[in-house]
Amino acid sequence: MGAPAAGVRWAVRGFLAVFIVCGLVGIEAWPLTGWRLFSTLRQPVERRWEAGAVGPDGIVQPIDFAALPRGYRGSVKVLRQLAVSSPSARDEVCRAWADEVQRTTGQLVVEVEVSSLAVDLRNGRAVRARAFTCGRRP
Amino acid sequence: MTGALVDGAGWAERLDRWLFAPGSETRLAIVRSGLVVLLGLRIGLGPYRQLAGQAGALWRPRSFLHLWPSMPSLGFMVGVQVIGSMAAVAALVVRRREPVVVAWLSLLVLAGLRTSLGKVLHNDVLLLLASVPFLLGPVSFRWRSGDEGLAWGWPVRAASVVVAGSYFFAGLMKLRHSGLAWATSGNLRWIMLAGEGRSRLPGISRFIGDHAVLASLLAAGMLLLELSFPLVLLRPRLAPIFVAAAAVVHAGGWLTLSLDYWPHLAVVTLVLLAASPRVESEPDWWALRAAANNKAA
Repeated sequence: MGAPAAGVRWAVRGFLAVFIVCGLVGIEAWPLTGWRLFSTLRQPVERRWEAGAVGPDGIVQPIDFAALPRGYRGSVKVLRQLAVSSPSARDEVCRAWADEVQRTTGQLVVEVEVSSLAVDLRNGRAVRARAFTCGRRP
Repeated sequence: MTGALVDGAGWAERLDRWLFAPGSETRLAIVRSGLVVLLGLRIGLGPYRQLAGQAGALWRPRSFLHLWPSMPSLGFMVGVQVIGSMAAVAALVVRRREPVVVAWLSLLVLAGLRTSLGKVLHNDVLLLLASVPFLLGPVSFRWRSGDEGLAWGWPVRAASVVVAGSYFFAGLMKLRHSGLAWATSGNLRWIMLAGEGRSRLPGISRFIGDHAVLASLLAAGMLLLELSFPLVLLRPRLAPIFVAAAAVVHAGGWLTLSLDYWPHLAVVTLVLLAASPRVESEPDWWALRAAANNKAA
């Protein structure tokens, strides 16, 4: 077999050029990526968001997203965006979580409580602050 | 090869000559077949069926996944897995390009659905990107061919650029977003302590998290490895060292943070070790630079 055709050569050059530009500039156009893997500096006090399922008695049980089906595992990231979402968007997401928790655990959920958490990684101490509730069932 | 590098041609032309220089048919056959096997394994064994049934409100599509209004049904997932797996098997026996294209598209869709949960996932990205040149390249099953030719070298070299680039850009992004503090501050300590809950070896995560100097040394080593990865393109004889170092990093990430980068490591091993070109086909980078300087002068 001989040398690749001119069209193939240009396609390969183009692909590598796009791959390199995405890497250099940090463009996310999946599967092309900016390769941001653990690139942000972590601090000794980690800020997280936590969701809790509120039962009819008002008792809040933290939602363990890892125990829910795989389609719900990205919820930790969704949770982070929820704080800046509109109330209707929050309600939609929270109802989805409430439904799945109820389906998976059998626990009755009337709404979801979202809290911000500041965890000092040096001593494990956590300060929790209730941020908002959402997805209340009518 | 060296002679070709010291004439009056410019950088772009010389890099082009390197990329499209003659290569071994055996290496092409090994790397292509290996990537097809990996594509098939990821398509067939990946956790895609469990994605079905996700509530529409949680759908967070990436790039082309916006074509879907929500997470597709279980039937769709199974269908793509079956078609993709069959295509991967066909790509190992049929001397045509189409089966590997179908297998690649299947993994593209399935892995894309997996990355539409809210977080960009990189687990399958290297496999997808390193396979791109083989979608366009020649097909060969001659594992023991001694043939060298212009047709065989470029897909493997293009895949090597992608492999080296994946590490280099990961290191570059760390420097861009965090600077040297990524290694010199307690950054890795906090990563380890924050990830302790999902660690396979919590004792190791805690140990690294409790020892600032050790954490900084490990972080510096990782940054150095990532930024120096393109050296493997300049000096392919270093490939075993880079592959071994990458194996240590990914095994460490799997043990301490449960990061599943085994497909990534498999691609690195396959492309860099099986594809390690002959020494005489290495470009003479010093001559290349000298020639460019002479031309500029």
